[in-house]
This record gives sequence, C-alpha cells and structure tokens, in this order.
Amino acid sequence: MKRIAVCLALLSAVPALAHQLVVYAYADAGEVVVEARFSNGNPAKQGEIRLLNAEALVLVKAPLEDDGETRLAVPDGADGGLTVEVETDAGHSDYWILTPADLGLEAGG
Amino acid sequence: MRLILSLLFVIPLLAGGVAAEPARITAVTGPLAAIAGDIAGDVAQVDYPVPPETDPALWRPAVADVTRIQESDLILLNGAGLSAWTAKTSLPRSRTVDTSRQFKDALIETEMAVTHSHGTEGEHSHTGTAPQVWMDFSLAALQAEAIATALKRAFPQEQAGLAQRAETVQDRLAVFHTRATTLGTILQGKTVLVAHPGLEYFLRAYGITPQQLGWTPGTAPDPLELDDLVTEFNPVLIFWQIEPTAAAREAMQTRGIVSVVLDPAADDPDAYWSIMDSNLNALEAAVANM
Repeated sequence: MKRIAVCLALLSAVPALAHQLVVYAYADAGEVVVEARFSNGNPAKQGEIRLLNAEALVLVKAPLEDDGETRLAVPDGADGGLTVEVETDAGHSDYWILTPADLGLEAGG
Repeated sequence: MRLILSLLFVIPLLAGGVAAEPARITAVTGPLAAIAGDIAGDVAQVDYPVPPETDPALWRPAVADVTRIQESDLILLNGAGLSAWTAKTSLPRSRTVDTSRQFKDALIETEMAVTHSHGTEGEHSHTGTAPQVWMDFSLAALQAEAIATALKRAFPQEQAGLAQRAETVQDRLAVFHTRATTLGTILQGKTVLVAHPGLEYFLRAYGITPQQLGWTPGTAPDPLELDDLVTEFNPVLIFWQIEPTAAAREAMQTRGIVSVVLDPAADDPDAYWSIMDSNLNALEAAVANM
C-alpha cells in the first residue's frame, strides 16, 4: 500500500510554474511580508493569508492586498516559526515556511 | 565540595568529553540518500527527512523539519522539480546542491493532459518536468559526481576516502548502465507498453520504444482497449512501477505480453540499490523468455 501511494503521485510529471500561485515571505522590522503572485507576474488580489504556528494552529487570518504584497505583524506564538499559507478565491494555494531563524528569533525562545 | 563538582564537569570538557555533533547531510530522495550515504561513509550522517509512507514529491515539511534541514552541513536536491517544498522556504545557498544542475538540458519536458480555464488566462494546459532522472543510470552517475564534489568541498580532509567510495558508487552505476544498455539493444524495434508515466529517462536512455498508457495503478485494463493495443502495436512487454493486480497481470499474460515491474524507488533509501538490481533482474528474465 505504501508503494502504491507513493507511486501514484510520482507517476505524473512535476508541473512547471505555468501560471501557478507563488508565495514568498520574509521578516522585516517585526512584520511578515507576504508576496503572492502568479508565475506570470500578476499579483494575487483576492484571497486569504493564514499564519500558522509550528503546531499548525492558525494564529492570524488576513485578506490579500491588491498589489500582491501584504505586511502583517509577527504574531504572538510565532517563536517556533510560521507557515504562511495563501489561498486565492479562485482556488489556487501555496505556502512559505519561515523558521525561527528566518524570523530573527531563537528557536523556542 | 562545590569545587570538586565543578571540576568534574570541566575536566571532561577540556578533554573533549563532549562529543561533537556529527556532520549531517540531508538528501531529498531515496536514491540521493543511498548514493550520498555510500560516498560519505563515516564522514557524515545522511538524513532522508521524508516520513515513511510519504511521497517525497508531495511532502510538506513542518517548520521544525525545515529548521533541522537548514542546519545541515549539506542539502542535496534532486532538481527536475521534485520536492516542491524546497522552493517554499529559504535553504542556505552555499550548502545546497542541485544534483541535476549540470544536465538541465537533458531534462524531459512533458505536456500534462490537464486543460482548464480560470481568471483572465483563458484555456490552457500545464507543462511539466519528469523528475525521475536517476532511472537513467548515466544521469544518476552525474548526480553521484555532483554529490562527491560537494562532499569533498565540505570535508576536504576526507578527500581520499570520499574519492575511493565515490569510485565504487560509479562502478556500481556503470554496471547498471551496461546491463540496461544491453537490454535496450535487445528490445530495439519492439514496442513496450508503459502503464504509467515515470520511466521517461529509462526509456530514452536505453532506446526503448514506449507506448505510454497512463493507466491508473491498481485497476485492471479494459480488455477491448487491450486487444486494440495488441492489434496496433504488437507489444512484447509492459512496464509497471508497482506490482499490477492479478487480473491485470493475467490479462497481459493471456495476450502474450510479459509484465515487468520497474520501481523508481524514489522513497526508499535503504533499498535503492537492491530495487534497481531487482528491476534489471526482472527485465533480464523477461527478455530471456521472449
């Protein structure tokens, strides 16, 4: 069963970034900057950002800004790092993982 | 008394009593982890971070997994688009090696069958890259070379041992390549059915003419479709990546088509070498009975 599950996914080619949502996030001056764009360069305008803590609990939900760049304060509970999830209203989704080091925090500190 | 206790702690530290953490390499696929482990020997521990029963192409790591990976002395990527997560976090560039970088021109682009429309883009389909580069043993050898180069750079004091073990790995891959080349020669001019995508590099490298079917694993083929395939292509073999159902195997057998399982072993670092050997054994046995 294990090999069936693994092979099912690997059977297909890995899709190229033809038009997919691409999320990038970084920390800047106590904020998480989330860039959400399609691979053709267009910003993702309508959708939701979720910041999840290291235990995958949602800490913050926020709407996407129209220019594709959204700044959110680093929330309490982000000490173990964050996963930034973006889902557009059209159903595209992507994520970016920020470790404590990426956030300028000590792990568990 | 306090001084004695303090000294008890300090003396082992001065004597090197606290063991240094061993060097650590992260490899994102089973084949890379197997090859890296053989080349590294005792120089470094090789981690394959993907949990059991999880597809390395679809795995989404937790933050703690990424933290551990970022701290690796070396991170080995397959390239060719496998392991999407590697493009969804920051990896230390100086310690990250794309093992297929030197043969980007040899990657196989495929047209995905999905056509759809949304937003302002109109109807379109996706293209993709076949990720199983290691199924061409000459490309696996180039990946091994990239790994050896990276290891020698990371652990220059271990050059001699690394070079020796890398040569052994190259020898093993060369044996596989020779065996597969011989099989490809025997199969020239014959049509081979290929049940699922994923063997593109193997087929191209060894000159095997495929008839790609895109069947869903675990299901039996339609007998009428099968009869049409036999009439049109007169296939001698069918390649599966996992053991076919008994019904599927029998359906092939009754039509004179020999089933051969060629498992890419993307997720199994411990069994990589033995699975590749088994793949070739199975194909050699099938060809011998043709």
